[in-house]
Amino acid sequence: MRIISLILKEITHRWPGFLLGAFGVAIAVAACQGISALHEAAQRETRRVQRDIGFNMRIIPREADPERFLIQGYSTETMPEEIIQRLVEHDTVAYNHLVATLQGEIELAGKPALLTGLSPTMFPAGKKKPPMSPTIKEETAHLGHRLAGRLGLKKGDTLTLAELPFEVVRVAPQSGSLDDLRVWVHLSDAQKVLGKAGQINEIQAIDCLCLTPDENPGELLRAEISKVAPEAQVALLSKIATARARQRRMMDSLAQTAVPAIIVAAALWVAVFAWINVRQRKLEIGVLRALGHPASTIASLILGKAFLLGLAGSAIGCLLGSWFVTSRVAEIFPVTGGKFQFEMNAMLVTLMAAPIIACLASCLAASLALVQDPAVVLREE
Amino acid sequence: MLSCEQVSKTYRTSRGQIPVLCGVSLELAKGECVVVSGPSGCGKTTLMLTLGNMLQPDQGRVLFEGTDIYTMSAPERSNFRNTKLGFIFQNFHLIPYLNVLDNVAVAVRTRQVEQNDFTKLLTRLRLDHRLNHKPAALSTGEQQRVAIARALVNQPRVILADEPTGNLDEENSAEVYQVLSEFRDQGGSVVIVSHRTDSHPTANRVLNLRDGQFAALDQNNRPEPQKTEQPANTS
Repeated sequence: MRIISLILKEITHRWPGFLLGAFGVAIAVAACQGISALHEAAQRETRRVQRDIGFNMRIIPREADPERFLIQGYSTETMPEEIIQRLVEHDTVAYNHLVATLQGEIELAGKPALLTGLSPTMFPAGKKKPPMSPTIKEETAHLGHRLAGRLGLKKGDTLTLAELPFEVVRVAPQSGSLDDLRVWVHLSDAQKVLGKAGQINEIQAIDCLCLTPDENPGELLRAEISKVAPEAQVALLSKIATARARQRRMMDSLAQTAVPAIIVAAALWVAVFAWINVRQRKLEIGVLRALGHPASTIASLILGKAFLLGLAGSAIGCLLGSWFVTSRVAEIFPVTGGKFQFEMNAMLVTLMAAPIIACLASCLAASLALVQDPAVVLREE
Repeated sequence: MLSCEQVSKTYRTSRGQIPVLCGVSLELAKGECVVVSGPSGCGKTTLMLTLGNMLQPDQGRVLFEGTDIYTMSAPERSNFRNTKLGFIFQNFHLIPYLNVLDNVAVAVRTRQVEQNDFTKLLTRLRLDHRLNHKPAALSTGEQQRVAIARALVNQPRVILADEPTGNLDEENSAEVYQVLSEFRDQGGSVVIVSHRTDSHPTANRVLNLRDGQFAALDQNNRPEPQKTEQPANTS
């Protein structure tokens, strides 16, 4: 008789215990999956919200005057565009979401405006993430609210800059800031309009340092970037950087504390059920030993059941967790929640980890079954 | 075929040592049925478990065809129990969640049993109409017949039966003895442990176990008075 058949028949016979055990695993898996997914969603939301606040790291030409840069909001000096490629290819990176920028003042309808050319977001190798801002296509323009009003342009109209036509694809809502007077175009178009081919005056980025409060991220980033791009300097917007680091630390510590605690609780739950099951099956195990079944069969019966319990629990838990997160994420994270997607790899890992943890948790019960002397059991009965 | 030589066993409990078997020797020939009788607590079950390679004696040897069965490795011992021995328990010890067929099939591990052999065996034991029933749905007699089928399915050389008719009425008891007689007649050996000293139609010999030792029986199969050195109160 096959072991799996024996396991399945025993599960059918003692289904309440199996169901309770699997229920515990399901709750734990759902909670872990929910926390992980919400952690991921929170990070995404943070990234998106902070994108609106702005990048926290600005890499500008070394010869730029930092004070003038701060007063003006951008550097008038330029540096080669290929620096961004060097930063992307550097292997010990502490930054991400790199966007090369070229900005310059232009005149539109007799009044000043700010032209901002943005490259597509670039990511260092192995750090690909969803971009924080939409990519601007070539020959298209996004207009600030006030500027669009001044020029009488709306979505679908054509804006002409330095005799080059640009389709207006978006008019930004009013922000009450310099953005209201800005024209966003693709970096290559800005280089053409401003006559600065292959030049940029800034690389915007986000630092990825998870530092303790006593560490100085500015120094670390400057040291790292000076090795890769000596012709650049770093301006760190420390308030944004600190706020982002705090937010990330808070979410990380929540996930790092809650998930292991839930796993331990679920493992204890499974261990107790496995132990009760072995106690219930004391005589049955003794009889199987008397019939000549070896210790490996007995261990397989206990651990096989634990594996199935973990598998059933994790499958139910994944469904529960997915349902919960899907139904709540848009409400919890109003900005990015609508586009949230589960990471299938993480779900697969959860699906496989739960049965393995259930087996490990049942090892003690399996040992109890193995050390139990069948002669004693049969004599007592 | 199966023998034990000067086997002694003492249980060590928190309340002290309890000697159960004190130098017991037994020789079981091929095709022989031996009944070991005695009062409760005299060591009958301990002897059966010792003969069944389940309980290692403190002293003495248990031999099967000349091999000391307690010198075998754990897997060898499992194989030995599976292929050479069949156990029948007073309380049947059927697995509650398996039907009749599975309760018999669960004993099959190392050898291939043809469906035809299963059918023949279960028909012989009048269980062919109960194959899909679980133990709870069977009568006491049927449960014991399932336990006997489980003991016979591997075609063992020796059957060790602990009070096989203890819970049965006369009719079912007679049927059990009939099956054991057939097994013996086909060359199998049987050890039956029972608290009763009479009515063992299968038995070639009846041995009386008292206080951990075999005692002689009188002409009426009653144990003769014996000098007892140490009391035993655990079976």
